[in-house]
Amino acid sequence: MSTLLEINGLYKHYGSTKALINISLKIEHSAAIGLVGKNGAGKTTLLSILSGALHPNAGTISILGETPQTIATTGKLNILPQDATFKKGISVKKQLILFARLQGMSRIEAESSVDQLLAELGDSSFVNKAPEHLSYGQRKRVGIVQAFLGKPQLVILDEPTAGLDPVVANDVRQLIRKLSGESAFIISSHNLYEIEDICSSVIILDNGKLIANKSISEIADKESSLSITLNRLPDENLILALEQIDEINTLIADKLSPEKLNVHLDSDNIDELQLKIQRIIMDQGYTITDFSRGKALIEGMMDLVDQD
Amino acid sequence: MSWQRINILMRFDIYYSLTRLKSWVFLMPFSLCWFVVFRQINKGVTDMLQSQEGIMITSAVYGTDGALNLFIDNPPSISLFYIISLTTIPFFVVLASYDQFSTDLGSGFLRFLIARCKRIEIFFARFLSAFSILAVAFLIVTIICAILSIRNDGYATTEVLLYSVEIYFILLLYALPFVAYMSVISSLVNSTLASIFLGMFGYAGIWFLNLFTFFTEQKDIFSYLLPNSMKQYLIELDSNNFFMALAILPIYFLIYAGLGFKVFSRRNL
Repeated sequence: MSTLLEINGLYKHYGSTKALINISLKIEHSAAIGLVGKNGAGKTTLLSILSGALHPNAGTISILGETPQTIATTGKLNILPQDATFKKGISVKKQLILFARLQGMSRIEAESSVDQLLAELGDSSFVNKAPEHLSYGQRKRVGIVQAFLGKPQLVILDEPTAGLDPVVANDVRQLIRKLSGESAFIISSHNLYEIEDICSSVIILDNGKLIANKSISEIADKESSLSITLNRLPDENLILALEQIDEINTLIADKLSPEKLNVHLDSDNIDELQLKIQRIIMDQGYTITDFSRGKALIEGMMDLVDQD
Repeated sequence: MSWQRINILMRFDIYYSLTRLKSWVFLMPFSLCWFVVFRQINKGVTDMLQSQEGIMITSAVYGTDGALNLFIDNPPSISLFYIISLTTIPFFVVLASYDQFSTDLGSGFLRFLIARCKRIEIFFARFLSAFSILAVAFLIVTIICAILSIRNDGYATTEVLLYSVEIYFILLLYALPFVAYMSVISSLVNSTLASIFLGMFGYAGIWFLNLFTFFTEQKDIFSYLLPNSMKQYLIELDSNNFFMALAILPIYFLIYAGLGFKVFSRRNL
């Protein structure tokens, strides 16, 4: 199987604004890749370049052995653009059939393929309406259906759950899981819990630069870290007491909420160590208001951005 | 490039255009214009053109040979239709083809297509759909004009039909570079209003530039930036200038279509 995605020395700027700076990465094969970063990090720019909608200023891209220009007619790649809309005044089903036909299906094949995917939506009667008569969530779901038409090898989903309420966002995530089947997908999102939930690896961008391209397990450490939120800011005595524990590698007060301590451990017996830490904290007169084991993706991501 | 994909896209776009306001922006004024003209033709305005006074007046514009050729040697209704068409085509083409890309650039719809088609296929399909609507509209008015001519002008039916066919194809050839000109404009802007405005502004700009050369030896030199400059030669039916103009129109088309595709292929969607 050819490499899923290979990018070398990619630059994109809009006038004097640098959107992407020397991005190079290689993804051999992965079922689900998350693309995360703050607003303006360059996520949509990168995905738009991959889909051929934007031209880079420099650099090369290979998607499944093709360039963004040549992959268009192969049916290997589909995209759900972030803010693109279907044509107004014409039923979305007719538009889905158009997309399927452009992918080389006959009218009958296109209709049956569209119907098959729409069946996954449950109640899909709304697809006979024009897009302006659909709710935002319905439009997103139809957008996802079009992205998975014809079983492409790679699907690009640019913020598929942005602007959706939690219930609909969850429906959309379920739909992505259901439809993806054999397809690999790259999904950009601000919701890191969503990325952690769906994806196996993650690309992190910050201010147009690539910060990391790693598996989720490498970044979001599930075992050897603790997050402890106290009832007040930790004082020097507590920090000194905790630092005396040999198995604690690092002890960092959270930047956003300083009463939260992020503790990175190196121990074979985490459970025992956890109890020991809790005891020291309580002995110092603190109350633990929140406690979780493992480092969420957001913490790992913040660490990586800080290191950069 | 796949002609199958171009065909699918083109048919979808024609269907979409005809079911939306977009095409009526062209069809309404186009129909109204020809309704007024045909009404006058039916009232016998061409008798006046064929009269001695009529020929004298038209000779001042087209020369004696030109006037005789247009209104005596050939069916005058068709000639009148031809002259009015040549004059109004730049305007009607703006209205018929202002939205080859603008709306979809604004809405992002082209991003759904770009994953399935090459840019050149989208470009050709949109160009052909705009041109097809124009071609069908002109076919209908040419047929109506031919019927009126057969009824009123008193020329042999075969002569009227052959002349109508000739005029129809000349008009199509003349319209072709204008549609290509609008493909450039429509690729540049994300709004239909801006596309119409910029299309018209192009003509006004040429007219304005010509003012600077009005009293010089290079008078009207800027007119040659647009195919309008060929109009005067196309009216001189069967002359050398006429055939030269016919040969130059495809060159205008190639230049504008090439420019249009260059803009479309390089722009961010």
